Amino acid sequence: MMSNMLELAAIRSGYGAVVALHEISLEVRQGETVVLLGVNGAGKSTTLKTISGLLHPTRGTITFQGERIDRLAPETIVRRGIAHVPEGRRVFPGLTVRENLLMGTSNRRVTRAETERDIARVLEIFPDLERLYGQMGWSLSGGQQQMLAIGRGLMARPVLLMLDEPSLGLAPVIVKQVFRTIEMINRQGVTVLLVEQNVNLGLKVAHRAYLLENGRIIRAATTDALAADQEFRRSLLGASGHGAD
Amino acid sequence: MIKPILKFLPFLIVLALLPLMLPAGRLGAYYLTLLILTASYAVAALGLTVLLGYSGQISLAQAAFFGIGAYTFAILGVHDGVPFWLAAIAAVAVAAVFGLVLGMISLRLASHYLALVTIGFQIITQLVLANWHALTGGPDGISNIPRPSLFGFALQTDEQFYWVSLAVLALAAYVVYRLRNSRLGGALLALREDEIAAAAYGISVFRTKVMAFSIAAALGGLGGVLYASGSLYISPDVFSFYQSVSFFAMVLVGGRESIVGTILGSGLVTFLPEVLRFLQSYTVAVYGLLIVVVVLFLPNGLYGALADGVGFLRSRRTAGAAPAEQLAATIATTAPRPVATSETLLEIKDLTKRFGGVTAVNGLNLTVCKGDVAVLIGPNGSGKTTVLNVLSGIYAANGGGIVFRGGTITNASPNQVHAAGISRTFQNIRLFPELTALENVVVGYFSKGTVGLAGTLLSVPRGYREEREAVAKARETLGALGFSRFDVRAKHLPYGQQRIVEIARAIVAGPTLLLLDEPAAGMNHEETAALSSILYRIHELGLTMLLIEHDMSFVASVATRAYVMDFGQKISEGSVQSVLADPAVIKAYLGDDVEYA
Amino acid sequence: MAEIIQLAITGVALGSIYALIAFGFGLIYTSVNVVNFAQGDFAMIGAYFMVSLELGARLPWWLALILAVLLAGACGALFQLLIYQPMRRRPRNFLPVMIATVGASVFIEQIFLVIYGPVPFQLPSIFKAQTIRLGGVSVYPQYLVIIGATAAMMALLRWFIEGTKLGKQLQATAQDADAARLMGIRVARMAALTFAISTALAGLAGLLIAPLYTVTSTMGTSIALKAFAAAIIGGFGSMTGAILGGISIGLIETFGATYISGTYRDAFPFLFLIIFLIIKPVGLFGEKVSQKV
Repeated sequence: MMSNMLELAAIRSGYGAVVALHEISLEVRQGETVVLLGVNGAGKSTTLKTISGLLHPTRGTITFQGERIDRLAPETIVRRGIAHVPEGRRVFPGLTVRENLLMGTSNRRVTRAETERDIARVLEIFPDLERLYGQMGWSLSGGQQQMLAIGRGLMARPVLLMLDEPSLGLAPVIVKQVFRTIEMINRQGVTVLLVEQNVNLGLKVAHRAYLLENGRIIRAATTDALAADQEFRRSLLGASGHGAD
Repeated sequence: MIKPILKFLPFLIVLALLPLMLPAGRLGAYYLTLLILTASYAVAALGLTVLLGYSGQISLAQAAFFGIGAYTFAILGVHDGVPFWLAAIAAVAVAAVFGLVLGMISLRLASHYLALVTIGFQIITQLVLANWHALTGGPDGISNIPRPSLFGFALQTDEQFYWVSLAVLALAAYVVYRLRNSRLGGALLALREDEIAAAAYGISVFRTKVMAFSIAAALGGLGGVLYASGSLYISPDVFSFYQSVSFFAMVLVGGRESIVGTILGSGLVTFLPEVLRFLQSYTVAVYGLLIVVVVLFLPNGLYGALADGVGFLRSRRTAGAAPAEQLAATIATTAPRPVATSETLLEIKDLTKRFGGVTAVNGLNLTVCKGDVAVLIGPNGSGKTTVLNVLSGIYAANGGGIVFRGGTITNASPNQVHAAGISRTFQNIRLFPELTALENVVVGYFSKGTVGLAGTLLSVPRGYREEREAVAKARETLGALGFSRFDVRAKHLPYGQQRIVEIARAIVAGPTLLLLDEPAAGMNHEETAALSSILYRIHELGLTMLLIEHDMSFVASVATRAYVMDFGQKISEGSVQSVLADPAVIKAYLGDDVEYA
Repeated sequence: MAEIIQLAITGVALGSIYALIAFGFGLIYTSVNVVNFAQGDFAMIGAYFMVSLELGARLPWWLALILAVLLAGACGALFQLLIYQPMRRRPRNFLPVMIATVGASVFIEQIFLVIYGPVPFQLPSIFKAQTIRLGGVSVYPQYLVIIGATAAMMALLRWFIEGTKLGKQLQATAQDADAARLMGIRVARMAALTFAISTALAGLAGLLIAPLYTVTSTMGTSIALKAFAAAIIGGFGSMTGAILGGISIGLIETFGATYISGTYRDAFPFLFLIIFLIIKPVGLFGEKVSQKV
């Protein structure tokens, strides 16, 4: 039995007056890949933002490696080992690819040699980035930015890597590459929590999945079980959702 | 006109009786001159109430307008012997013209630029006043400035002049009060709250701001006239940058949105040095500190804090009485829904919009017929919101065209799009947060009004009629959507109700086409169900709608026609059921079934 | 001709002062979206610290200079803690913060007036010589000190911002504060550092210009306003822009005062600014003013 690395207990969170998550409870175990599924606005991104500290829950607790982190600032949480690759990639537009990667190490003290070693490791995963090394973030295409954002997340040497829609806006060939990478990272021992709109890909890469709707978890299952369930796919389009009940 | 006078009467009576309450002798006489000073400052500060408080524009040149008014009046009155009242009117007019010009050249600028240009104007004005000896007397200033007479009755003593000042102050307060409660006042506040939303409901950003600037300058000039006549002598050092900061302080300390607050603030700032005399050289420092403290801790000023406190207590008392409202539960939807015609209302041809290297909309073709409830769906980032923003004039298209009711509206301004009969709501609700629900909807009716500034200030009956009509229409529209918490500020409404108010604001002026950007986002099941019936109701009223939405069951319940976008292009269209069964759509939503390992 | 060269050197020196402060304005504006109207007061603070350290504590000029600049920066960090941090999270805080800095400016000036008294101080120039001759033109040496010190400071800053990890973190925070926080960059410290650098620049400007004028509590106000004009002309946040903007304002002021009217000396920069803004409302290097829907 694997131990729980991350545990959300009855989390309520949102933006100002808008409650986006009502009583979310979930756990991520050491070494797993977990995917959050659901239509737009179901609360997937909000869940990641609440874990990484960009949002603070108004109720409930978040425990990471046995310690509560729900009151901590993002700067502190990333030091504990959670890297969040946010929605929309958010690479620094006025910094070069190299400088963007360098920023990823801001969560700890590193030597120059260590930094170079980590950069080399990222370039091994995303060889395309090497060619773009001196280019500014804004000048990259969407796919290149996505690779840079994931690479920058890896530079933090996280134990838990959270990825928000890594396939968004990418060409299919790049998507494959990104997902191979996620699987590889996970095999190297990094626990992964993923938000993905491409359900088929999400179900393939992850061990377990949570289905969110309207800020609540309506289903938790292994990905194998969900993949076999045809009704589940239909429900993801939402047409047979709460309109029928 | 009667209501405001009754409302402010007690306050006015207290002010009028002040001179009688002063101690006798020299101290009393001194206090009386301070009171006269306060009245002149308060008039100028009221100008800033309009500019800063209502329209949200920053100006550090109020002392320049104060000076322009004072000097114009003094030069005309002393040198040219122009009669008092004529010189006063000319002074106000000259200040207003300066304000108009300064406003026109500087209001295109973002607020920090604007602040600096006003400081520049302030400094140049002071330099001119101090150095143009022939006209202004240079550093010596101008003395023997006349005081007024009325119907042959000379008003020369300080006590008499105080009452004159008070009458002028009351007039200025009335002007500001009237403006605030008029259609134009609503436009000013809307601009302060959200320029994009204001423009989307037909308010000209530039004209409204310039208007605020000239009113502020005119009141600054009027205050200057009072100051000159009250002090009998003027010199350039009074009209300095520091005096501009002082005016700022008066408005902020009192409460930038409140007339009474501004007047009290003027009194406070003028009398503060007297009170703080024991601090000696620290007086000015405390003054600066006061500004900081008020901004940090009392964003609405002293009077605002007081009013908020009273309002809070009052709402606490009534909170229990008003049960939480069931949204739109009572809306009847028994009437048959209108059937879509084949008459084309909106036609989008080859529309393209790029942001830098990213093509958000790529040659989109789309037709909405009269009577449709058309829905635009598609995965995140497929370009739906961009289509709406180009349609409503917020973004300019890079290619293609938009035809609405036979006329081209490609790249029209938000104003023009609104005038053509297209209204919209926003993805992240853009209500005017500090305005009440009713005021928000009244702003939506702005484009129907006709009375301008002169008519408003002269209180022409048509202005009142239009305002009553706008309010009645707003109440009716909100009522039709099952909403009745008219007087709650938008920012205090729960999310679902904010949506309803935003929709009411969009339809109150009777548009032909309503654009809705994710109306159901963030709503719970009950609210979504209520929203469906509201859209039914709007549809029954004969409006054609184009909406963006992610909630498919909601879409299925309201839409008559669906268009699916992916990567900036239309990939499918038809009934909701048919597009959701389209393999291309399923692929767009669920992704390719790719092998990656 | 000699006069024109002389005036040009004066204008460039004055412009360097404006450039130092203008770049500080831009740094704060681009990183935390605040316009700091108290910026000029840190020039005054720098000059007064120099008075205390050089004339009061009798330190050698170079040590006094370094300490005065550092102390001005420390005051700036404190300033942001008291004025900016409390309002950092308030929505639509641009106007309130700007107004608070105006209030703080009044407060700071008055406090220094009370501490140092109303009698102006005179700082000696670093070089004792009254004038030096450079190929037929006699130049007041302090002008050369100003130009040299500004160039050195700008070079140092360029190295810091472009060449160090901390400098990059500063840039990253300005570009996307939330993403920076996710990287582990402590954005509150970055804000403090930004204010410290900008106010240290202003402090340097103040103590450099002090030997030319006198040290008074209001000496910073008019300098800062002209520097602000320079920042707008050059575009916020660009070092080259700040230098170009500063020097053009300095030249316009100097030549205008000599050839057109000495009385209206202070009016020329603002007249130029107003005309400039009418012609080109977004500044020399353009600034994106579009609002996201």
